Amino acid sequence: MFLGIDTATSTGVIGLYQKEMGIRGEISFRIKRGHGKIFNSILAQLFSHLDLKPGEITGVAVGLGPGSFTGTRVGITLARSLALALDIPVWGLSTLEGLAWNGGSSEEREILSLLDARNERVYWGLYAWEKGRPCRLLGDDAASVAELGPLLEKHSSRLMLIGEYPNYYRDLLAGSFSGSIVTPVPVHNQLRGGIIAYAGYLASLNNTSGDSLEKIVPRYLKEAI
Amino acid sequence: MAEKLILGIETSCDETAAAVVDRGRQVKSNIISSQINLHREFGGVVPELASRKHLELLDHVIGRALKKAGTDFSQLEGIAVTYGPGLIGSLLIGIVAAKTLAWALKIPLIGVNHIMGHIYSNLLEHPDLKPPLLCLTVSGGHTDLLYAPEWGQYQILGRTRDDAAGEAFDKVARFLGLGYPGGPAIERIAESGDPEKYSLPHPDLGSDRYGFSFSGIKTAVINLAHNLEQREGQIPEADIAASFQKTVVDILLERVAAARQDYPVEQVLLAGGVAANRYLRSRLEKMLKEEGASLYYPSLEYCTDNAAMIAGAGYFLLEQGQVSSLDLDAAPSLKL
Repeated sequence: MFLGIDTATSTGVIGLYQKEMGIRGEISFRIKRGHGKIFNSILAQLFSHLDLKPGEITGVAVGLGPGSFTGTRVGITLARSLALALDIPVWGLSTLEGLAWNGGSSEEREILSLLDARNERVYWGLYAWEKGRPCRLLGDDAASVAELGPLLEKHSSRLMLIGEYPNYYRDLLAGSFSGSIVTPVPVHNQLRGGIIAYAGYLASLNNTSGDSLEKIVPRYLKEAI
Repeated sequence: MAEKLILGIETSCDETAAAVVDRGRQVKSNIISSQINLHREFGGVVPELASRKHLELLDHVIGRALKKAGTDFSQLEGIAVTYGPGLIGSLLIGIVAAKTLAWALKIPLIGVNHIMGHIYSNLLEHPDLKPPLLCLTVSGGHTDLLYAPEWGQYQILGRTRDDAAGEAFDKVARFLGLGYPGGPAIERIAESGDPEKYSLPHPDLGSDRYGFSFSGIKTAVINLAHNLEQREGQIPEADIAASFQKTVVDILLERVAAARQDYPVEQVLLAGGVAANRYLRSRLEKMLKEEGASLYYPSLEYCTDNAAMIAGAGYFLLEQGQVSSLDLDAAPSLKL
């Protein structure tokens, strides 16, 4: 059973994926801050209600950001501590890739995952849907929206924009990007814990022992000071 | 007697620490990874840098603490963690790790007040110590004078209104260009200075007999240094450091003496990073000895932030049934 977690954005997510059953359970909650206070008890509740034990987790996939520095560290600390206590593998996943999974219905378009990085800047990653999963073309990086348009034009003329404030950023991006941009139905702009867990399962097929802990650190994409 | 091992975790400031302690007193391991070099160029702790480093180091530090103690997760009776006071982002790393370990291992989680940890640091080396006692906790974040009639009962007599004593050391050291951390730097240069050379003001806190204030002294030092530089063309760093250190210690001693008039206990504990200051130790020890009382202070490794003291305090809380829920949150301004 694979556990997926991501706390880099205001939507904190937990999910469980089991090969035979698909998504076994998931909880998501949207709060401005305070993931660190409630995340552990939400995890415990999910396990308790499903009558599962921590020892049944075979691996953990965790969102590495970019996103809120403090928020991202909550999920990563949790994942690394579980790996330590249960001696299980852990895989790191870009939070932008986690979002790009929501663009699976759009094989005709490249998927632009966007997160607000404040001061008119965004965290972004460009993905294409290939062989049943998003594959990264460009990013992850931080940029101003004005810089981003010309960069994207070299790789795409048709975008699906997924993430935070999608309509706002679609309109802003239209000023520097000449192709077409669509946004998904609103419920596809947030992460899903079950999908993160599934991504962990997929990662385990090629890399059974997980990522080394040195790689399980936040993608800050911004200096500390 | 069977072991009762508690794993302690401490990440409230710039030390990433984990320790295994048996029955609250016998330290099996005490691992501290200091970030001092990381913060030195900024003259103080940069909170975001500290949080980043804690995350990178904590699981390695926990692994080392277990290994050194010759034990593993299955032998632990509980996980104790500092939940405040301290830097919120730093505290959260330790708290989330502790909550996750406690849940995965199905053992109790014990949130510990960092200041209580400092008080209990004295018990690690003086296991027979018993209240009533007075405790002066002096560090970069705290200056607290408290009276404990029993273990677990604390009456705060006084605390600082502005800067902590250790913070004043850091700020004065930074101003004089002596480096970080300021306490050891000032103590070192003060050895060659004249502590009577300059008279610095003692704070007037009116009827508050046990309170502290150090920001006025810090400002007075800076003004004095500017004046001397203008008049004499240079700053006599050693004399200023010695005079500053003496004034801070005078104030700490005055408050302890006042507290002992009202609470005539025979045991006084010194705790916190500034407890490592030998000048403070020797003057306080001398004063108390003359009055027939005894001073206790931890050895250096238990003066500065460490996780052994957290595991020690955690054991006593666990014995009293004071365990925490998985909703335990960081409390940056936690008081005793």
